[in-house]
Amino acid sequence: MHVKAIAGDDEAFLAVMQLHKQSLLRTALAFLRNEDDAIEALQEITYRAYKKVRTVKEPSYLKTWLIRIMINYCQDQLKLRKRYTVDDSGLETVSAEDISYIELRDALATLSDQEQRLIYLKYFQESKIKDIAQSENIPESTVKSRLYKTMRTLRSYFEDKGGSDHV
Amino acid sequence: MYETEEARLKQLKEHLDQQSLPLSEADQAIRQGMERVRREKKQARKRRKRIFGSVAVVALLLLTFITSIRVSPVFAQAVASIPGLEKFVELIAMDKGLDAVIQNGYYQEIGVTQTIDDKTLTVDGVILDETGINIFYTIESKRSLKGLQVDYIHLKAEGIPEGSFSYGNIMDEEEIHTYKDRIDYQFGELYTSQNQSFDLSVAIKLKDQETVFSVPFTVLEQVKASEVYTIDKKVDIQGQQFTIEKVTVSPLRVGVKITIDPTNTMKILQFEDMRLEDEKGELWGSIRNGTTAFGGEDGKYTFFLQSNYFSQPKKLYLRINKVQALNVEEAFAEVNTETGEWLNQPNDQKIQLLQSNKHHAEFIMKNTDEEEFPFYFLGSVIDAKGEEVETPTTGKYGDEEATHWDLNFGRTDYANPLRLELFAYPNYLEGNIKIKIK
Repeated sequence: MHVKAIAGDDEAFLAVMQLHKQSLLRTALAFLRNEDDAIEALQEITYRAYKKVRTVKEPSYLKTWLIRIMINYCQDQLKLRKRYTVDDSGLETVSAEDISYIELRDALATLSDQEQRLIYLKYFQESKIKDIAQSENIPESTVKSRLYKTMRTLRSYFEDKGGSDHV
Repeated sequence: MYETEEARLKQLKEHLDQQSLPLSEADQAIRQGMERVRREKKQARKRRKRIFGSVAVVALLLLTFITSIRVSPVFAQAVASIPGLEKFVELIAMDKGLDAVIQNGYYQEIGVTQTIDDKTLTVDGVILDETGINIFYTIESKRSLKGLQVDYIHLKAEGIPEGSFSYGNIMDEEEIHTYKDRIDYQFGELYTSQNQSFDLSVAIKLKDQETVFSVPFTVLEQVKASEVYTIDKKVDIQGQQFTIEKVTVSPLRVGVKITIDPTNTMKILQFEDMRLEDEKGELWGSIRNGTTAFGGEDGKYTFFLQSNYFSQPKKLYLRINKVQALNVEEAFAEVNTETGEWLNQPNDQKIQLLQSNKHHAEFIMKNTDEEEFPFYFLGSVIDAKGEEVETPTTGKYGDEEATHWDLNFGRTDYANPLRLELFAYPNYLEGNIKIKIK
């Protein structure tokens, strides 16, 4: 089915999008934290992917590729949002559990775009190191060392915050 | 090592996975995303025009072309064995005759280049015979050639007969540094001169900057002579008569010379399914991309078919089963380009005027069963004072609903209404004509 999608077949492409729509939506929600924005992101990613789908060289990486362009899009959106909107998270009522998530998400937001992608693909999409390496176009060993370095950055973030684990 | 961090990430993942997803909105978003691409593609298709130019008043142009391309493995192999020819496959694959020219090594590599500023034009190769010349050329640049337009093309040679030519290609979106095209120059009469040296000028416009390339080249191999068969047979299709005079078989094309009986009550327009058939039932049809006929004076026409020059059949027949025709009084369109008003046209009114002014007119014909009417349908344009109005550039394109024809008039001081001769129209006479050629 993936092979057909690369040849630009309408129905096959639709089927691929159906197959991956949950993963794509979850990705958008993880980054954008808003359903409306996630739906808009899905439309945009369908558009971009459908336009470009002939250029994918390796069908088995189609999912990772889709997730990757989704993350890129979300990261761009977040940068725009930073410039133009006020943070309204203070208006939400949150539980202690939520606070832990918010902290982690804030920590993740301090990482570079690539570090965020690596963490997201590895821990949220549970993608294989091999697939991540292909999608990022870097060697597998580099994926591993960058992930390792990123975990160290996260740890030092929490340590500097004074151990929010104990809240 | 980082178990705590990993555990926190895992927790967050599970939390996120529990979120309900707006799935029906998602389906709609996917559909909308795909629809946006389809709309854009449709728009892009509209812009794809092939430009036709005519240098001679005597030549009438009937053009037809299709867009789907099928390549046989044998042909693909022959193409692959000639360096540089591969990129032109899409421009030759629709014609069995050209296919055989390539397979029989009659395509001749030239490889002459000229560089002006950052642009280089290369004449890659040619096919020359007594009926015309096909020139395959490429323009390359380090900078983007997006938006490149071919302004005009001239071909000079000592003793070259006047003729008609077609050129223009769609640039590949992903290859913005290369423009490739085939110029199909068709001589108005057989060219039998010993001179095989040509001078090609190609003027292009890119971002308002004009570049004129001028490349001389010589074709080394001697031209293969045409084979001429005199037939002289009168035939009848639903009461309308015409005479098949002679058939000329050349490497690039086969010309069928026909004289139409002046006493016919209907004007015969196109021999849509005219074809050659050999003893094994193999067929050669009309030219799919280029000039399909010459003539018109005194009811004499030459129609062109794909060439079987290299196949050397034992027996050969000319076959016709349907002919486009209109009653004589309906066989022209009369229209006022300033008011958009029709004064005459075929009774079933299949052609509509979409928009017009003194400079330009755009006609459309609705597709039947999603089939595009593939013919360029308009011939000479005569104004109210009986003077010809030239149409230096014309274009044809199709979208999903209709076929469009664009006409640009050479001058605006003409008097309305304009009388446009119809060369093709979807109205048919049927019969079964089979004539022995050899």
